[in-house]
This record gives sequence, C-alpha cells and structure tokens, in this order.
Amino acid sequence: KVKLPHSALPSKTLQKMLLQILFDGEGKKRTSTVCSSESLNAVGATLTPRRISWRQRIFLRVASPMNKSPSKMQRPDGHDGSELLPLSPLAPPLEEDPLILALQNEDGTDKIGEKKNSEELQSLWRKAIHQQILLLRMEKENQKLEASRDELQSRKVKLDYDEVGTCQKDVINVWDKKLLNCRAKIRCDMEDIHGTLKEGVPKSRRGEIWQFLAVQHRVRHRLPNKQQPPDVSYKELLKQLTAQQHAILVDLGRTFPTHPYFSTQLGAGQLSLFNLLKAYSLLDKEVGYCQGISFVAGVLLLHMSEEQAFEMLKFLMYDLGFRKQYRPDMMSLQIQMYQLSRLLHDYHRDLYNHLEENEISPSLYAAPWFLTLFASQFPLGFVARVFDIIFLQGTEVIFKVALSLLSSQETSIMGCESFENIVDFLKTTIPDMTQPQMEKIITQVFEMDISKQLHAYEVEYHVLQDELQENVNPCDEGEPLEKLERANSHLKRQNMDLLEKLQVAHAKIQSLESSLETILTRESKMKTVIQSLEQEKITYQKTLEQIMKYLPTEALSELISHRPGFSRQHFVKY
Amino acid sequence: MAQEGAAGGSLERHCPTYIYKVVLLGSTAVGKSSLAYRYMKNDFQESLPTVGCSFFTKILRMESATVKLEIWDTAGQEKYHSVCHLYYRGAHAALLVYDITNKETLGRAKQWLKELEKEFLHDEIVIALVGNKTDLAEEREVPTEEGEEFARSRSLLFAETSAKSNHQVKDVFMAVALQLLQREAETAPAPRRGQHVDLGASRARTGCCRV
Repeated sequence: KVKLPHSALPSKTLQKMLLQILFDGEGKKRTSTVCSSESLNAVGATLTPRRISWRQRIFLRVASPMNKSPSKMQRPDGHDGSELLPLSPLAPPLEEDPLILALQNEDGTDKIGEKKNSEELQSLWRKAIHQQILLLRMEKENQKLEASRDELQSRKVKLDYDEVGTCQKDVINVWDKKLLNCRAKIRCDMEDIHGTLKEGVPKSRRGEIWQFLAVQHRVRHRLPNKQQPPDVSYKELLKQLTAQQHAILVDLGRTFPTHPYFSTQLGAGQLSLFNLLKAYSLLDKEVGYCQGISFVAGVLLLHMSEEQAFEMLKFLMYDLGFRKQYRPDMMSLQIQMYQLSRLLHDYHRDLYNHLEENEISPSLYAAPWFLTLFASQFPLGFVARVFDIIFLQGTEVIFKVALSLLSSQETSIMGCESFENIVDFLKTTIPDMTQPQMEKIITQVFEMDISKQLHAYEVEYHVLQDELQENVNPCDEGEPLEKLERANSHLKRQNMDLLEKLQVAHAKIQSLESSLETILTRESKMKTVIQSLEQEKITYQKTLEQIMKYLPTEALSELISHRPGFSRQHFVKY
Repeated sequence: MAQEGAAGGSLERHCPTYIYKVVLLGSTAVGKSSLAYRYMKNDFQESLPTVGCSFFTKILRMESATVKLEIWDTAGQEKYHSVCHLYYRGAHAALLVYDITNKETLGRAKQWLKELEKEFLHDEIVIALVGNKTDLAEEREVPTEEGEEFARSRSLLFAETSAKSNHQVKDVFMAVALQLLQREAETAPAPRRGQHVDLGASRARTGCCRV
C-alpha cells in the first residue's frame, strides 16, 4: 500500500525512488529537469536523428534559406523523389526539406544519363549526411529556444519576491557597466562599488552582481593555498556518493517549503538543491552537510544556475570564511555569540541588561541568524539585500544586521516582561517587519563599521578561554583592584595594537607571497630561456668545429695572422 | 501565550507554582519540533529544521500545584552536538525522541542517554523515551517492545506518539510533569528544585536550581 509520506520528509519508498532517479546515471537524471540549457543540449544530442519535430517543420518552412515555393513549382513530378528515397533512408519526409529538393532538382536536370555512377551516389550520400547534421543542429537550436523560454518562466518563479528599496534606472545602468567589466576581471574601486550597492540592486541582475562582487573580492584577497578548497569540478562531484545523503534528503522538503520553486516534492528546485548540497558535502569533507546551509544554498539557487550557485557557495564558505561556523566543534559560532553579547553590552547597555535579567543569551535567538544568514526566518527581499552586503563585506554583516534589528526594536523588547515574551518577540515579531523598517535597517548596516570591535572581542574570547582553562594564580587579595583594572585596560589596548599589527603583517605576507610567486615563475621562465640558449650555443659550437674541419690549415693560420688576438687556442678549447 | 497574571488569578494563595525546563533531544527529523508544536497549539504543520534551538512554554494546572513547562526544542543534526550542551544545561527533564520507522534514531537516543547520564545524577533529571510517528505504522522498524524494554531497563518513562495524528502527545508531557512533581514531594523537606515562585514575580525563575 502506498501511503502519503509524513509530510515533513519524503517517505522511504519515495526516497528510494529518488535515489534511483538520482543515481541510475547522471545523464538520465537530468532529462527530467529543465533548469539549464546545457542539460537540454545534452538531451538534444541523444535524440534519434530520424525524427523531426513539429517545431523543426515550422522552422524549416519559415526560416529556410531557400525559397520553397519556386522549387516546388520547378519539380517535374513526384517520381524522382520516390526514386531517391532508398538512397537515403535516414532522410526525413522529402517535401519537408529544401536540401532534398535542391538535390532533386539537380537530379532532374541530370536525368539524361541512364545510370547513376558511384560518384553521383557518393555526393548524394554526402549531401544526405550534411543535411542530417543540419537537422540535428536545428533540433539543438530548438531545444535551446525552448530551454530559454522555460528558464524565463522559472526565473519569474524564482524571483517572485518584494524587493527592499527600489533600484533607480540610472543605478541599473551603472551596474550594467560594472558587469561588463566583470568579464574582464578589472579591479574596480571599492568605494564606488559600496556606493552603488547602497543605491540598490535590481533583482534580475542580482545573481550576476553577486558573482561580480566575488570576483572583485578574489582580485584583492587571495586565499592562502592551505585554505583553498580542493580543486574538483562540480560535475565530478555530482558523480560521487555522499555519506550525508539522508540528512540532505530529509531537509529538502523543509527548506523554503512555501516557496513555489522549492515546494514541489522532487521538483526542479529540490533536485538542484540536492545536487548543490551533495556536491558541497563532498567538496568540504570537514563540514559536510550542516543544517542551515540548505537555506544559504537555496537563496543562491533562486538567483543563478546550479553550477554558478556552487561556485558562490564555495566563495561564501571558503573566501568569506562562513564555513568556520559549521565546523564540527562550532567554536566559531560560540565566539560569534560572545561577540554579539559584547556588542550589545558596549553599545546598547539597557537592552543588554534587560536580556541578561531574563536570561536570554544570543544562542537562543541568534543561532539561526548566523547559520542561515537570516534566510530561514526573514522575508526573501530582505535576505537578498543582506546577501548583497555580505558579498561585499563578509561575515561581519551578520553582526551589523543583528545589532541593527535589536537596537531598532529596543523599546518594544524592553516592553516585553517575561522570558517567553521576549523570545517570542525576537523569533516572530522581529522578522515580521514592514518595508520601510527593512529599508532603514539596510541603510544602517551600510553606515556601520564594527570590524575593530569584533576583532577585539574575538581576542578577548580566546583570552577568557585560556584563563578559564588554566585557572592560573588566583588574584592576590592584597593587590588593589584599581591597579589590576589599569593593568587590564593597558593590556587590552596592547592587544588591540597587536591585532592591528598582525593584520598589517598578514596583508604584507599575502602580498609578499604573491610577489614571490611571480618571481618564481619568472625564474623558471628564465631557466628555460637559459637552457635553450645553452643548447643553441652547443649546436653553434658543433657547427663551428665542423666548419673548421673543412678549412685547410693554411687558411686557418691566415685567419689568425689577419686577426691579432684571435689565437688558435680559442679553437682548441672548443 | 500564558501570562503570569492570568495564572495568578485562578490560583489559591497556597498552591505552589513550579517551573521546569524540559529539553527535547533526538536525531534530525524524528519530530521533536512537531511534538512541541502539537503540544502547544494542538496542530500539526511542516516545520523547518531547527537550527540552534526554539522555545515554548506551557502552563499545567494540577490539583496540587501549577506547573510551568519550559520546553526547549533543540537541533537534531549530529553536527549540532557540540552546541547542544548550551541548551540542556540546567534541564529538569528530557524527552529522548526517536522515529519508530528508523532504527538508527533509537540508537541515537541511547547515545543521548549516555550523554545525559554523564551530565546529571540519576535523580536530577526525569527522562522519557518517546517513539514518534505511530501514524506510519506500516513502515515501522522498531517494535514497541524494543523501546519499552530498553526504557524499563534504564527506568525511563516510555511512550509511543504521533504528532501528526495527535496520539499520546499530551500524555507524555503530563507523565513527565507528574513525575517531576512526585520527585518534588519526595524531596519535600527541602523544596529546592523547581522553585517556589511568588506569583507575578517572573524574575525569580533564575533561582530554580538542582540540589
């Protein structure tokens, strides 16, 4: 008996079916989806060449380079056509194809000869084959057209969200210009990009703009080799099996379950999501699949193709460093919680106290903010805007948004009296913002700069951790507190200074590394040049020796006598 | 949402209120959030994977006392293991949830038990083993007896439930609450756990500590 699956997850049978679809073969799998034109091309190539579609018929009728009706009129009768038929069994119905007609016409004029010699036959065959190739190409074009139409449709579904803030026409033009540069990987002015991003992003270009920002980031910051992801292509990863399969499958139906692109069980959206998560889990063995990532992946998929989304997920995780928070020890998440608490403590003391009194730590409400980059709770338009800034500024954006959200609602939160009321407010009321509220938050986030504080708090966290672990020399009671405090603040300042120095040093190391690399490549180039020169030298020497052998000794001595300083010894040496 | 004031109005002066923290633990997609949602709203809905933790409260009016359950619903994926202690710290009760159609999830529940036994003394915490998804009886992989037997051997509460078809959900939480109250009575001379709350003084919840 087939029963409905437990609605949160695909049932066993369904899972098995899914597995069959997914792993029977990569080629077969994609035939059911229509998300990329590439896959459709592949399908086109496997089509049997014998058939032509109705679309081709129309295409040939309309777009044929040859004029059909005159050739039809010229055609003497149906006889030649039927005679031709056995010659090219692969050919489609005759009257459909202008090439055949052309062939027929030639034949018609040729009719005087009684027998067709083999040359003629060969040329006929050649033409038939040529025509087949043409047909296949047309079929492909058709598929492409169809695919682009489907893609347009799915783009409409994917991008069906309310944008936060409107993007003016002139801003769109500015983006167009920048995106052109993107292809050439030209380094753009960061201030300028920041300014334009603030003005807004048209959602139809959002995917491209994210990729542009990623390119810009990579031009500036190269990851050290050790931190780079393994160099395996997306297609290669899709062929492998992942150990995290169950965890991924279970979450497919739970990621944006109300969004039309993802809501269909095993629809295009869910399949793409599965592929993307599977590929990532195989690429990043340490993180694998961690709940939360599916939302990030989902947001990417709404704005670009699967393969591009994979590239961008890699960018977010490795280049921007988001993968740290998903690592097994989740150390980075805990540091982030500490940093958020400290920010609240330093900049919104009343709010901090209120939350403290009610025992509400950030791990209660902010974990999903960090782990899904706000994607699981907030409206998509807002999430997309947050992603815009993340692509520009990285992980600290999460703190900025969190801080801005909390501070903008400070009075309401202060008004909540109990633990559960506050938690409820943070979890359900805050994500339910009005459009102007969201715009205000985004504007605030663009104005904020908290990177120094974040660094300081991180150092602080590690210091605290060490202190707690070591539990070193308990405080001497005789020592005045004041003195200790002064020492402490002094140390803190020192820490900050050191941190800055460290950053500068890091930057220097990076630039040195890259220059070292260029020097190394130059060196190796030089070496090859030297080698070839040496080779050349040897051959020259050899020729010289040979030439000398043919020269009579008198001539040689004459040469020497003519040119003082040019002694025989030179030759002997060679 | 239960308000302190409302609770106070219907109560006799001497009727104590106890606050207990109950954590839901178990593998991913076994139905922890759904159980909590069913219990709170008496409804079933598809829930997102829990990232971190979510939180509900429920007030139970019993004959002898008012019990306020703080239900902490945790992330199930094993990846989140390292942050889970943030959530079960200070819990009075735990529901170890598994999926009766997936044998592995029972194994995971047993691991959670080990974890809790490391963290808590035996009488510090009430633990219930809960086999969820009885509505999927045809796909059952774990026989009722197996869960029951294991629960008995470790003296845990046991029940099979369905959040979807609302089978025994209330009963589980009620059984946990009763057990908590019973323990309270046993240690009566020093009524420390599940602290006495002055009505209206929600601040005081901080004080509820284990002995």
